[in-house]
Amino acid sequence: MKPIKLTMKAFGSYGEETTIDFTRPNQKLFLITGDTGAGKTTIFDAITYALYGKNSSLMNSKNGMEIQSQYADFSHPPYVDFTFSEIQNGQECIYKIHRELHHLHKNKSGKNAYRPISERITLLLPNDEEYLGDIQKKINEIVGLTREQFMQVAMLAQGEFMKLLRTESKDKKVIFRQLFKTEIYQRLIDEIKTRNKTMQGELNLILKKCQSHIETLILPDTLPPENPLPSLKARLCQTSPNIAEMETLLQELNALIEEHQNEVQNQQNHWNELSRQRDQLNARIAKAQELSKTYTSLDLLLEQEKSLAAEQETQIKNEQLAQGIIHAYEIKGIYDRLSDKEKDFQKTQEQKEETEKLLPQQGKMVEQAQTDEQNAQADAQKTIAAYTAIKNKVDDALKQMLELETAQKELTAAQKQFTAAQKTQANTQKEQTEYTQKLNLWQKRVSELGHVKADLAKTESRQETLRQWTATCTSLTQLQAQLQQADKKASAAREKFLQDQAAYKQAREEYDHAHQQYLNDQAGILAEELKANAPCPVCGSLEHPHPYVPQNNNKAIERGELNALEKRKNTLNDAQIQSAGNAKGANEKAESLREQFTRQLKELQKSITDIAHIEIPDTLDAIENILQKWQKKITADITTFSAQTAELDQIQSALAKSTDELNHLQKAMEQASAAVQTAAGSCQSIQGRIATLRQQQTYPDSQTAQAALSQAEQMRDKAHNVLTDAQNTTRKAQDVLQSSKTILSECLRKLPLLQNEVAELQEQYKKACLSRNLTEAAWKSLTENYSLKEGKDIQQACQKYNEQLKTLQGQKAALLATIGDQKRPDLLPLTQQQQDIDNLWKTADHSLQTMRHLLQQNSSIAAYLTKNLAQRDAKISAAAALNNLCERLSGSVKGEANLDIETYVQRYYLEKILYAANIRFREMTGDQYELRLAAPEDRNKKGEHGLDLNILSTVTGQERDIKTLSGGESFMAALSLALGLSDQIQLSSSAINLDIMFIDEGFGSLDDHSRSQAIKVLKRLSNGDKLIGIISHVTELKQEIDNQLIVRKDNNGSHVAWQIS
Amino acid sequence: MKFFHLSDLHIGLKLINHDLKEDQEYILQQIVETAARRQPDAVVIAGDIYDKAIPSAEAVTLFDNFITKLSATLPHGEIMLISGNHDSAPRLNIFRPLLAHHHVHMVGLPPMKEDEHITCVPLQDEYGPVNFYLLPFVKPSMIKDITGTDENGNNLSYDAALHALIERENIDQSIRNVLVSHQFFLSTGKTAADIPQADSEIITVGNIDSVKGDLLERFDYAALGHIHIPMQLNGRECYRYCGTPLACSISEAGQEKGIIEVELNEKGSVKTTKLPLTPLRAVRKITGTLAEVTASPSDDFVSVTLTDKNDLDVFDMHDRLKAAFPNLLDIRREQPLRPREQANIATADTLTPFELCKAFLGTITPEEEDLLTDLINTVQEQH
Repeated sequence: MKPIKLTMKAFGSYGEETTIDFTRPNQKLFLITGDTGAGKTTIFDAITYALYGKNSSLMNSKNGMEIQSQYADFSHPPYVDFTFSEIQNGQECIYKIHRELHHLHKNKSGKNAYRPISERITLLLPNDEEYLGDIQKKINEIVGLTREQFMQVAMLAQGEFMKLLRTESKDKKVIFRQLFKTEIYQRLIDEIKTRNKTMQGELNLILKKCQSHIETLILPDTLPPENPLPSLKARLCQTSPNIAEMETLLQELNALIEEHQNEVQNQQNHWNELSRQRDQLNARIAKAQELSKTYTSLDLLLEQEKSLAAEQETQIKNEQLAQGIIHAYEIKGIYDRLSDKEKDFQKTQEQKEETEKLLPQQGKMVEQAQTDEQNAQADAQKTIAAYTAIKNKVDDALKQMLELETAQKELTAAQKQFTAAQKTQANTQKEQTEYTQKLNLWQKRVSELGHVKADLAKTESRQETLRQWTATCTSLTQLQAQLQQADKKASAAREKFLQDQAAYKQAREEYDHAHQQYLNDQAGILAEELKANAPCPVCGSLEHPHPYVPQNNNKAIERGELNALEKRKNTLNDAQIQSAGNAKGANEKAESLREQFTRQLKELQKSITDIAHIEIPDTLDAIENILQKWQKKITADITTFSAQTAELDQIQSALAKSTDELNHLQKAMEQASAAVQTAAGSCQSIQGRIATLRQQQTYPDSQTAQAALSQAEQMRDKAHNVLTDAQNTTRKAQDVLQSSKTILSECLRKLPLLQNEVAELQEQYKKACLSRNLTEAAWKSLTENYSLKEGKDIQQACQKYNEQLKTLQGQKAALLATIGDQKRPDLLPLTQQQQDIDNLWKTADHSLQTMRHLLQQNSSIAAYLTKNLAQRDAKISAAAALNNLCERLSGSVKGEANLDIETYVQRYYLEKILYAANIRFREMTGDQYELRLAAPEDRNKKGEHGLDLNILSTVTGQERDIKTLSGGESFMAALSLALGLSDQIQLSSSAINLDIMFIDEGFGSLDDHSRSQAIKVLKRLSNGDKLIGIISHVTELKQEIDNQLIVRKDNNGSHVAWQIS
Repeated sequence: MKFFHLSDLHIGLKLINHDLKEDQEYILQQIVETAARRQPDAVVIAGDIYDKAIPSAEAVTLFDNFITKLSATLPHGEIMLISGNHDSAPRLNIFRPLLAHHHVHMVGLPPMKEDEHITCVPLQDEYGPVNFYLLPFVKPSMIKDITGTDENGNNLSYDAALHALIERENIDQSIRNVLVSHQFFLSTGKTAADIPQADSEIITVGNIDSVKGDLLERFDYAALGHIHIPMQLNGRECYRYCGTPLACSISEAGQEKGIIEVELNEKGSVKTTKLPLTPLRAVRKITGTLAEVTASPSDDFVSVTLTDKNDLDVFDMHDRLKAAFPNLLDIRREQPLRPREQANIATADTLTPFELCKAFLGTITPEEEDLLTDLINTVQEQH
């Protein structure tokens, strides 16, 4: 995780939006420095806050409302924006976190009320999309560390670096568990403990089940008192089961069971004997009971017989009556049959006579009907012939009418065509005339515009010349301006020259004056020294008639002064000459420019007069005006001429096309006239056809034809109907005749048969009366008085009585046979005996059952116990092994070091960390100290202490507790430990790239030497990829470290600025 | 002409919490006496006058005495000093024109504005003029206004900044020129790793302050300071670091310290002589058993490494050593690495949970092994 940019607003003491760019420093080690309270730690807070939502100090945590800056008003939400890069799969991915604090927001409603607004986080992934989901978890995943780990490894907060050194083993255990993923060992311990518990539970369960079974053990009361079973059972049932007691119980139980088995055997035998006796007695009793039953039934039968004998007489009388009734009814049947037959015979006779009477009449009717029929037939044929003739005529007429209609339609179509053709012809004609008119117009126009092109060319050439003149005008104006400037310069130079000249003159005068004076003075001096007869230094004469008397009012003039004046004069002379030169030069330049200007103006004038042949003024402005006026005119001309040229071109192109047009039109004309003629021809032919058809019409129209046809049809049908009626009547008459004939023949046949039957039946009747011995009156009266059914009933009753009697007699005989010669038994003594034996048997049975039950129960319990105890034994060894392993792994074996497997593994990792840390620690302390893990044995403390650290002093060769280090030494130890830890984290999970380390103060507690050692270590570390930030206010560090981030605080809050070397 | 070249006085230095005031006084006195004997025309001190930016009162007094004595010894000589990276540049820059009047040129600040140039002290000898260019320790940010920045707006590197600074000077190659500078120069063709650096120097991360030595070729002599070990650059004896006059750290123990006397004759002829200095108390490293070591007591600053194999009584050892060496710097024990450490170095690879458990439990029966394997598998599956 490498930070790239941090932006914060209204965070801590940073009121305005402050951005820190971490890519600015050109070294990997930078210093954050500033006065106390400037806001240095706040930068680290911001980074930690952006990542984890809490500030960097573990002891002094602040929430959002406390962090919210009071340098900004509450209308802006405080936020932190953190951009960092992370290497994933070899690629650098850039993430951006934006976190708004939980803060107070000013209500818009005027009053000074604030409402709290909760935290908002957004996370932008490398491909610029926003991450939706549990953002904190994602951040933890990306960075690879939770907040606590981050605080241990990457950010050493102010005053809190000692934590890692001095925390207790069990807190360290939690931290390392997360860092090195040793949860698996914790889970291992948990797993084995649960397994152990379940195993123990199972064993106990077995014992408990045995116990519950033992409770159901039945001990007989006949046990000898010294038998230990009852007491054992009582004990086992009360308390938790004891395996030894259980085993003794089992043994005793088995012995008891054997005893009982013998007992059971004896009882069984006794019971068998008693059963046998009982059965015998029961059999005898049964037999006796049966005999007494038979005797009682016999008595019953005898009584019944007596009652039946009384009824016998009435029964005989009824039987006779029944017989007579039945005979009477038989005879009645025969008599009825006879009377029926006689009636039939009579009827047949009558019918025959009737039919004979009707026969001749019917014959006559038949003949009449036949003649009618023949007449009708002749009529029908005539009408049919007439109908067919009319039909043919009508068909022909209809066909003709159809033809006429089609012909008329054709005619109308042809006429339409004709009119259309005529119209096209007229149109074409009109077009042609119009086009010729247009043609004439165009030609006229062409002749008009013939010369326009030439005009245009001329105007354009004039435009050219005008343009040239305007160009020259502009250059002339420029030249005029230059000329003015040059004039000015010349006059200035002249003035300067005059000034210089004046100055020079003055200087020269002064100098002359001074020179004169000097000479005079010299002369005076010399004159003073002149002595008679001494040579004059100047002229050498020996006489000095007029020595120079210096004037008093003159001050002496030094040679130096004179020289100075001379110099000044010379310089001024030079200046003067120079300025003279300048003035001359400037003047000449002005003159040349003027000449140029006038020359060019004259040229322009000349050229204009030559070409335009008009008088033009001399001034440039006037010329320009005139030129402008001409320009306007010419542009107007050009536009008109160009328009006209365009028109001319158009017309000419159209003319080119004209001949083709004319030909085209001519062709169209010819086509139209041809069409007209053909249409006319067709019209005429059709009209002729129509006329002929009209002549051939027979019927005026179709309707009359149809009417005629229908009439003929009707007549034909009528005749047909008449014919069919006649045929029907004939047929009917014939049928009637036929039926009468058949009836007659039938009757004749039946008569003799019937006669015979009548005779037979009479015979039968007579016979029956005789056999049954009944006169006609007798049997008739019988049938009147009694119905057949009554007679039958009476008969049945008699039969029943007879049967009853018979059975009774039969039973009596059987019983007597069975009894034989046995006497009536005596049951009382027998029943008494039975009861006695029964009681005995019951008691024996009962005791046998109980004994059996007891035996069964106990033996089942014994079997169960043996089985389960055997099972338990089998499991004991496995349970013991498991227990042993559990204790060893979880470090609860007494008498040995209290290390569990997880601590052991963590110590293993911690040793590696310490090795890496010691390299740096040794260097920082000049090989004085080393960090070591405390050996777990040599402590007398309670609780876990497998991860405590010791300091080994190389000087004394002995270890002591890490708490004995001083403040500065603790800082160095903590720093080395943090460096070692980050090394190990990176080795063990290379997905975590911890490329930063921030150290907040702590260097102030080191002396110069230790501090320089510590900085050396850090500098070496930052040679790699690690970015190390140090907060310190130590002055020497400001000298040593090139890249510094200066934090200042003023009335508006804190500000940061990079100061790169 | 003849002048002395010394540098890196580090007045006020503490050697592992031992105050070196007496030793520095002694050495500075030696230098003054040497100057009195040899009478050079100039003394050049090439930087790192003080050890700290804000030196202590004693350090300031020491320096004051030294310069006063030196100036008194050489009434006509020029004393030229520049500030180094340990000094505070503005503080050393005070009273510059006034001091210059009295032949003491103490230059603390380099040229920082467009119209400023490297301080040049022109001297004359029988062969002609000699220009001494006094360039104190320069950081690129100091001379930003002169050299400008690179295309990103960042400061130039040390190398580029120095080159720019020197190239803008009109160095008249017809006369002799001497450069006095306090930077980390590299011989042409060498890298920073080839330079041996002492513990007492401030090393920048990544050696970004290195400057290529081709810059020195313009000068006839370069009096350089910053490296504490005397060395020559570009293979010539005219471009050199003179080293500290006094050992400042244990890593300088045993080195021969001294100052350089330079003779400039006509252009192209430079002769150097090393004038050795003996310190009041040397810095030494001693190795041996306690008995051997305590047999030769001395007042020197010693770092003792004891080779005793047996365990020593702590207080006894301390007392004896302190009695033998009152200025003891530190005590180290020479010990073979404990076997545990070696084992740890070896096991850089991680062990599986199974192996770790086995190692923890020690002896383990096969049934227990099976049970353990089963447990581990269950736990791993659950996860």
